[in-house]
Amino acid sequence: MEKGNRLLIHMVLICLSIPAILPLIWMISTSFKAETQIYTNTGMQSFQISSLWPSPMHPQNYSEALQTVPFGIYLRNTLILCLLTVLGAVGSSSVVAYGFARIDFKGKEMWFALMVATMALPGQVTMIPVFTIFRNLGWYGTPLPLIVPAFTGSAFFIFLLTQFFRTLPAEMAEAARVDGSSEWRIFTQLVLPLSKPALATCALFQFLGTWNDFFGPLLYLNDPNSYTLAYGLQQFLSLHGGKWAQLMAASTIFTIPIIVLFFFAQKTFIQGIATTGGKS
Amino acid sequence: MVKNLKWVAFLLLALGFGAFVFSQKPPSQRKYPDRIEVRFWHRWGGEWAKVVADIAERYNQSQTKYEVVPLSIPGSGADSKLTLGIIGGNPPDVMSMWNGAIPSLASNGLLTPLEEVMPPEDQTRFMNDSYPVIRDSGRFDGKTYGVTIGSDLYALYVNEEHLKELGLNVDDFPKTLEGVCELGNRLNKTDANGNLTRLGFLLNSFSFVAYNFGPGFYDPVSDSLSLNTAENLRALEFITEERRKIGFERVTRFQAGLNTGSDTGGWPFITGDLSITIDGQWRVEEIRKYRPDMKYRVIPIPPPATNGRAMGGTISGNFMVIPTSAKQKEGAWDFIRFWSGFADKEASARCFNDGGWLPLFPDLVETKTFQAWLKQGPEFQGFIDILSSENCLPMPPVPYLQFLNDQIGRAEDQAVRGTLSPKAALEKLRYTVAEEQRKRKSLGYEE
Amino acid sequence: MKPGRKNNLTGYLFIAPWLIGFFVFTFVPFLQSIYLSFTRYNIITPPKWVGFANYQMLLTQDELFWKSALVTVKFAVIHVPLAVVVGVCLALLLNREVKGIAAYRTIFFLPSIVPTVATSVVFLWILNPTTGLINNLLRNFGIQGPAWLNDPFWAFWALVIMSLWGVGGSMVIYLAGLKDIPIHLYEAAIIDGASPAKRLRHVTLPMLSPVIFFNLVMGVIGAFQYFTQAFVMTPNGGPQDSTLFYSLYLFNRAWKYYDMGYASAMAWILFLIVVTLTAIVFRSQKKWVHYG
Repeated sequence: MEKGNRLLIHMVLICLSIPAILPLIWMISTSFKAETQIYTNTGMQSFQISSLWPSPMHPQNYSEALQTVPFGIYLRNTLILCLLTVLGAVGSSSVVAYGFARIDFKGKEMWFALMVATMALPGQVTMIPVFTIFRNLGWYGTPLPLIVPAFTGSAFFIFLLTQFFRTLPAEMAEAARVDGSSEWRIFTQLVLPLSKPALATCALFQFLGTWNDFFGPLLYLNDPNSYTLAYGLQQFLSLHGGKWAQLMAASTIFTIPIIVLFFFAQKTFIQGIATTGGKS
Repeated sequence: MVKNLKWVAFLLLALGFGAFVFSQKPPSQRKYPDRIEVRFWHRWGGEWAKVVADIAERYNQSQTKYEVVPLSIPGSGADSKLTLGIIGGNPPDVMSMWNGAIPSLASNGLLTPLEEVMPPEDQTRFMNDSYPVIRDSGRFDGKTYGVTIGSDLYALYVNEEHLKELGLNVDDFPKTLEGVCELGNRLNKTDANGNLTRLGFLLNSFSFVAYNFGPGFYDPVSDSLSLNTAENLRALEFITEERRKIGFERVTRFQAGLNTGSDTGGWPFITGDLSITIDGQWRVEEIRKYRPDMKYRVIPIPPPATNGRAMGGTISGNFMVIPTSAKQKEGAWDFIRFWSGFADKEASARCFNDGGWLPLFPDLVETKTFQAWLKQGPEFQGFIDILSSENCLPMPPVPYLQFLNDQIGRAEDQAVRGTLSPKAALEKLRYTVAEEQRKRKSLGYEE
Repeated sequence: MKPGRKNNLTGYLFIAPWLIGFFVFTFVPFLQSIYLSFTRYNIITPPKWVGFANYQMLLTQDELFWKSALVTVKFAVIHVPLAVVVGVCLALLLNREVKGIAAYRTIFFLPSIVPTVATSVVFLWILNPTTGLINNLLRNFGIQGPAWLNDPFWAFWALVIMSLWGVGGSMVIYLAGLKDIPIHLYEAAIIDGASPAKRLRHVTLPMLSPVIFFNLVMGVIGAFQYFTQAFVMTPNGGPQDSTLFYSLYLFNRAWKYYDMGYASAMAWILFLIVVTLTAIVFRSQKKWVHYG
């Protein structure tokens, strides 16, 4: 490539990077500003680069946000939910996927097709009957409606894992079968250890999904002591809509763990997303 | 090696994070474990939730049988959240609802008629001694479903200092709505680009101001809605015209820049961003708490120069309801008795004062407690005066009140934006509500 | 050994978790919701049969139903293709071997992992007409920015802009697709003397078409369920219902007015629309999608 060409690409990329990253910088910068830096009585202002650096620093927004709303408890609730749903979804999905990938049984193709079709079913269709099920079980207001469905597997993960299990060499399993190993043994001792990357991808997606989930808590949680971060943040917004500094502090608390996770598990993120999107 | 280090770092981070997170414990709820629990849900958050928790604690100390455990469910959609609690089969024993939600809840069979739990002497006191307009705001279809623990009304808040800048005395405050609007325009301040930096006065809330022009949205004689009336049209035209004068865009921009999110003295009227504004009576208590030296006056919204109604308005506010499926209805009623003024009047007056709410009974205003409080915030009297006005009316008692209120708000929005003329907006309001009625009829609802 | 029978039992045991979940949380509710859409139901009292009344009312009398359907279709028609174009362009740019490309990729990817509610809150702040970042920036050029979420025209576009901010997720997918295109195809094209534009038109895009197709399908399904951002930023459907998305209106009907029968009918119409649109996209794939 020519030098000028390369320079041009850099210029274009830098220009495009600004709108991508500026909102995040703006979020963090606002979260350290005092309210007086945000609301000025001199009317409308234009943008200055220097305004990105809060001076004086006002880290109190964080402690104040934590005091107004128990984000610590929300964080705890969110993490517990994440942990349980990851366990449930990855565990059950891998079992089911093994069934679809490696065992021949009657009606398999039909069930598999049906499962893939459910991915396109809008949640609104089943929302009301499912709500009545949980109500009849007496689970409304508890986190159970957000946890238990994960243990029946996720169509998306089952699909992914089925595809992955099919790529594993079949010879070892055949050998084990001849030796009289049960399918369960083959699954847990031969297949699972080879599937760590795929399982990690599913775990990551489930984690993000639960961390992000807004609709579930909106519908099923009604005790503020069991709120999650996503729902708690929206509640904070509707209650203190104008406290931008604190809102940005809360948003930062909500976002940073995901970004940290990204930097530690970059490969799983990128590969996971790439595989989910590509080869259908 | 580097990879290992990264994992060690990650583990340490995760461990530290986990230790912090799991040291967070929700506050324990029961203080008197051997008493009967009464679960109480309300919509207040932040500073207000503390006020409500104090009231519940005073109740708990006043007797030894029940423990009221308050739970704050604030934020947007609090009404739906409370309703979901009933629908979802996990209801509280008593909850504080916005009265606009009561008719639809009651007509769906979700609320206990309070006559079932009120002893006869309480019923007599309720029917005979209360402010009729507040009492009737909790009634629907001949039965009582809600008893107020704090009602709200709106009036003008006037900044005396701003008036002085123009050389005006607050005692000479205009007696007509036209006069207030004209004064408001003189109080506006703008920057070099013509953007507002201070808003003199903005006439809004059609659903409230309509009562200064006419009887509102309901005709008790024919027991039907009266939406597209000449009076309502006048009100909406007036609001639209005033907004046009200031400039719709200008107001929107100005309001977006206001710090509205604070419950601790950040109200734009206190900060001086608004000179005259329509707001609720609880702000008197807020000013007393956070800016006791502020020079201001509360003045009922004056009627228009011709054919107006003085001291008009409608009640909104917080009403205690008991879900049909509640487990502890006796305890719930005992708590309502305490707060609303069926029992100790002084104790009840203190509850209403704490939040700066309007009481259920006129005799609560006579108590020593209330009078002492009034001395500190005498402007509150203005709201009490509106309560006894014959132009202050309950909201229309229709089961789809929630829907109706949404549509009234929509009509105002369309008119002030200029997408529809006020006339067309009202006609559309009438049409939409009529369609809803038709729909309900064909679905077999009683009304 | 009788493999047939034994395998049936084991097979069903393995897929049992999903099968139970499918019946309890999908299949039975699916059937119930058909029934509910023909009833009047508030969850507390038993459903009452009303025939086609809900559907009839929705289609002939409910102005908001049509409005919300229109907003949603508009969003799907504008957002989905736009996201594809922006995503592919970004991926093409980031597929270059220049210094620091990994850092650029990270920067473009980061917005897509920010939780939806956080994104919505941050954009509420950025879009504030008076103190927000965008209008402050516009003021540098002497432009008075719009009132964004307070303006019936701009509120919709504000949400479109916000959704483009998170395009990094699909960009990664395109990027992976680009990496999979065999080099020899390009080499052959260069030997034939094809210009870069022609190479893009005749090699890159056809090879990328399965990935684009996948994103299109997911985009359409997603657009019709667009809820959280609209609910957080404009809970009442925005000025003049300009952001009253279908799912938002459905939610209000169900949980604000307890019109469960009506909401079920809405959900069923949504389902039919999504199925039809997905079918159309699938149908079209013969014309433009190349499976190499």
